[in-house]
Amino acid sequence: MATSTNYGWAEPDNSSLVKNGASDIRTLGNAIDASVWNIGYGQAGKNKLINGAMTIDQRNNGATSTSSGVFTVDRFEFNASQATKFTWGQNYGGVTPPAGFSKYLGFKTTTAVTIGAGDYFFFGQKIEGQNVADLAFGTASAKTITLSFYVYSSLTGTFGGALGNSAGTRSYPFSYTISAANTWERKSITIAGDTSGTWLTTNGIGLKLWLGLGVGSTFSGTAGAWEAADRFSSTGATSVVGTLNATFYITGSMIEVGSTATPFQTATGTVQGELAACQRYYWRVQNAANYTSYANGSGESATTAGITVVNPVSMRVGPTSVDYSTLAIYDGVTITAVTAVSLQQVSSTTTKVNATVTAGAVATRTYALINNASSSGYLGFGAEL
Amino acid sequence: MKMDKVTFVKVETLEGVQEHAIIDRGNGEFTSMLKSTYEAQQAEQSTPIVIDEAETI
Repeated sequence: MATSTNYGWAEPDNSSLVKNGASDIRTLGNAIDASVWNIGYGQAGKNKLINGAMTIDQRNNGATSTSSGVFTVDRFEFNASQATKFTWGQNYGGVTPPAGFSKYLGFKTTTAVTIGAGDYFFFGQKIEGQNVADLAFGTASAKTITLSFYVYSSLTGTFGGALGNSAGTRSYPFSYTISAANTWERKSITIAGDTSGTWLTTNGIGLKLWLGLGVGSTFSGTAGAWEAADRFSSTGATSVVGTLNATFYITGSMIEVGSTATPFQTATGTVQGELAACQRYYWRVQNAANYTSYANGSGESATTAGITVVNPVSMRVGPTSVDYSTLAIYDGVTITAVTAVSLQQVSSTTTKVNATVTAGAVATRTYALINNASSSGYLGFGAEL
Repeated sequence: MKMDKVTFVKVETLEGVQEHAIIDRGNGEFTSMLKSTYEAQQAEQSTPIVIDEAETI
């Protein structure tokens, strides 16, 4: 019996083929099928979701929060119509991630809520248009895609989510089933691409993926069909927020072209690539030592120093927000606490901020922007979708 | 219930006066953005906020 050159598939010889017929062909076919399926390993670029393994957490660094309208781990935002009903965080809940993963995003309800028609609790990711242009949504050539993820919940039943476009005028609600409580299960949902609607292929929002944790009827639709509406989940889905202390954990999320969920791969294939991909939308520097420097600039008045930083990667657009804590300006002699930081001149590659102090800055004097007597200072810039 | 505290400030720049929103996240952590950006974000969310009086920095 011969074997194929590259994958070593067993090729039946003439006598075997005559003797075994279809059985030999099935054996060879299964070997080819397995090889093609496994090609998914290491195939960077197939996953449209950035940080699908939930490993990058620049804002929170593993800390928990009850905030909504914010980003959890990088790229995944959490939205809610009522505040503080969930605690969330990277690896929150302390369960062992599924094999092959080290991180997950965990949610747990703090209060049971009976949702009204207009209530919503959901999380997910907005994907940049340039990264989904190949899907050809909104055209007759729209491609079929498959969403897959690993999920672990204290609840069982039918759960929901939705895909949508930037304008909220096209949605595809979908449902999936969690069969066993407190057990990692891999789910996949195959969706025929939308041939209608407007789908951006620019640096704006190309595709939105939402997973519902409790969504009222106003934002829920019938699973399994495209519709001209803004949806976050499917009708009849389990409301996680409806149960006190309910848990919902997720990792290994992926959107890929095709009708089969192949083995998980991050969008970029490496941890550094994944971080850089996240930094296109948000980056943060946080030096873990007192008085360490972030960037330099010069005094512009008694209360202002202009500081210029170089973004570590080209951002989607010039930053639209700046996060900061516990900063000071330093001229080599005097440390002056910063009371506010504001964006001034922004581009995708460089960012100038004004660091405001109460008094004591000197125009034209050189200043370093530093941690102020703390290792908890930081500076972060957002250019989120 | 945790509520973000937001202050609107006017900042003099080389291009003129800009109005910024400074959001107090608690624990000495802040986020700053143009007021127009903040208002656009709020239009998409229902996160409760408390708005302080404007001041100039």
